[in-house]
Amino acid sequence: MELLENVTHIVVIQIVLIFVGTWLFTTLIQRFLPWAAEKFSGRYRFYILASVPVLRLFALVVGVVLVVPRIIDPSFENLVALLGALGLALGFAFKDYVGSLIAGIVTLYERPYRLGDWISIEGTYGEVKSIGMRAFEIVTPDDTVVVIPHQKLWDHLISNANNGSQNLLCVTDFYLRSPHDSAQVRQTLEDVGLTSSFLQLKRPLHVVVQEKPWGTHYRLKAYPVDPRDQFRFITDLTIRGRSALGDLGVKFSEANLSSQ
Amino acid sequence: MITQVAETEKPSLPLWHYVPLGEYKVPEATMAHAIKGGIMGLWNRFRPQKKRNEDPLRPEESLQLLTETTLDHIAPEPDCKSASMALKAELLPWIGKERKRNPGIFVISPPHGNNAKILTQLAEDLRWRVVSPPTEQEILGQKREWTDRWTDQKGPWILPELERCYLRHARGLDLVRSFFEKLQSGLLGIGVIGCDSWAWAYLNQVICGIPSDTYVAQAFDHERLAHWFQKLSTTKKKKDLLFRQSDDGTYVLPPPPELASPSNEAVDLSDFLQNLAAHSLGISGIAWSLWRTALRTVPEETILREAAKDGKARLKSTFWVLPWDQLKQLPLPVPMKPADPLVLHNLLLHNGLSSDILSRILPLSSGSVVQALLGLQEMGFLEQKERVWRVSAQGYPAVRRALHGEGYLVDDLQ
Repeated sequence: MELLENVTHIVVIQIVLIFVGTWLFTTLIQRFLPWAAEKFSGRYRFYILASVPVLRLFALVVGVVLVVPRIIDPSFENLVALLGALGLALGFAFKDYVGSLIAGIVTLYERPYRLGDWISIEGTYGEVKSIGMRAFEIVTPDDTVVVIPHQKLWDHLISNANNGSQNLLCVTDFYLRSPHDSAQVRQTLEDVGLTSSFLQLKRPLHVVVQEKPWGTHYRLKAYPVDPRDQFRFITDLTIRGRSALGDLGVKFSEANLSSQ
Repeated sequence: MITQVAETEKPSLPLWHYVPLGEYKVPEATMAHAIKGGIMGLWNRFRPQKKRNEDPLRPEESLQLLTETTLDHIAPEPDCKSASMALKAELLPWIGKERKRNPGIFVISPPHGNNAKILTQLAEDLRWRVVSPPTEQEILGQKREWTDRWTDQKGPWILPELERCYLRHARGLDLVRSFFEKLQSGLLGIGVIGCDSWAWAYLNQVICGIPSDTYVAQAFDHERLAHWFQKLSTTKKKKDLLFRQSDDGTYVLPPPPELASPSNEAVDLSDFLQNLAAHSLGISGIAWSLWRTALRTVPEETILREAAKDGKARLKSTFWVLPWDQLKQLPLPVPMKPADPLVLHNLLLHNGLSSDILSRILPLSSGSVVQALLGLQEMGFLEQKERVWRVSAQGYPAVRRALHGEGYLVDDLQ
């Protein structure tokens, strides 16, 4: 069995020409299309830019399809050997992709996250906006879309703040200098929480107090009506809490947080 | 001074009926009645319907709105006397004997239930003093002079609007907490406290140990609405008023027997009042407001023309009621603007607020608050009287539904 064709100098010239043509085509696409996209506005610009990698891939595939028959004798046995080797290489290359696909299936019945959940993974916190076959997308509070492969499910901790429900606990921290009347501060912070327009009244509200070397740490824990309002809720509690505590004459601590 | 109420004063007709809060029952919609009927209900749904006219008897464009004067004659603002008498009858055992165990009785009412007027009338009937609510400065200043003034005066009292005694502000709960403590300890003497149902639901969430002796006027179902509207429209001079649905002529209120049908056939009653009772959640003020909105009359020239044609003089005493599906419903836009649910919820929790106070308690700028108020007013969900903004009677059912769907705390009257 002869795997390779008889490579003559004409064939070499043809292969070089194909490579050069492919290179020229991809270079033209990468230079011309972005320039052309700048002539358009809005979503058309993004469509044109999105076509660049697609056309580049197309050019590469065409180049490979043109080159391979010139090097390899396309007999049945040769094709089986070639495709077998290719399959092995692709298997190793795509193992992560397949792992993500399988993890995506696992998430359907384990449901570690759902649409509308607020999750934290590898320090990134956001709302799950879409769940695809290989990956899911979350949108962070800064409106950044983060694409996360489902494969992260195997070996990473995924923290889910609301787990498919409307109940998402928000914690607002206050750091106060001693001495002060802790009972009065606690009651004041409870009233601050109970009078927030964002508060989900049917869920419990707590103030947790901890003594620290630099003063006292108060944590106001409460649930907003809508998890999407969590940041407005925390802002409201912080502003009104500071105002109410200021009226009491309480001083805020300039704590060294690294010492906590 | 406690006034002894004679048994003869007890009203015999239970148009107004006060019950404990747990016994409150909202009227059901007509479809719910059919489903609840089981197999017969299912059969009734599939059997051929009664033939209705293809063309409406009185097209809407041929009818005209009633003037305010006419509306005030046939559907006047109800007085609170009969409600006050019913409440007094219900409170008799407590007034007589049980007041030492419970120094305070709470009378809860949904928005547009006229609770304050009823309790003010009750105070007049019992000759008890009426306690005014504290000012905004007294509430936010956490000044106890308001309750101190109370203890200086003796005798039973009535506080018509507990919802005016707190604000949803970090400093706005202290005074009402103090009120409940002093009430429970007997320092305030005995009294009747009126409270809006939304404020009651909120106070029960934020304050521990609130007494649970509560009464509420039972919701108006379609039968009581019919009786009530009939009573409102009936005077010596207006005994022959008829109210018929404009599309098919069916009677909305049962007609007097002598006018119903010359051949003594069974009178065909429309289901307008059932829909009205369910939609208005049995709240008298809302049902009354929608009833007035639905009333129409035939123009004078049409009356004269038709009277000359067939001699039916009673046409003058016939008022037409728009069919339920032609009444303008007010759905809230979905999704709501971010400020709207906050504004609506706080207005309901306080049974109305001025824009100044609303701006103080909301986490929004004054401009945003005013913009939201004007936008909701334009859509018909809010009304403003004497600088106080409230959820309108027509808008209340949709607002309640929307807030409940969004997960906000709602009252227990459902």
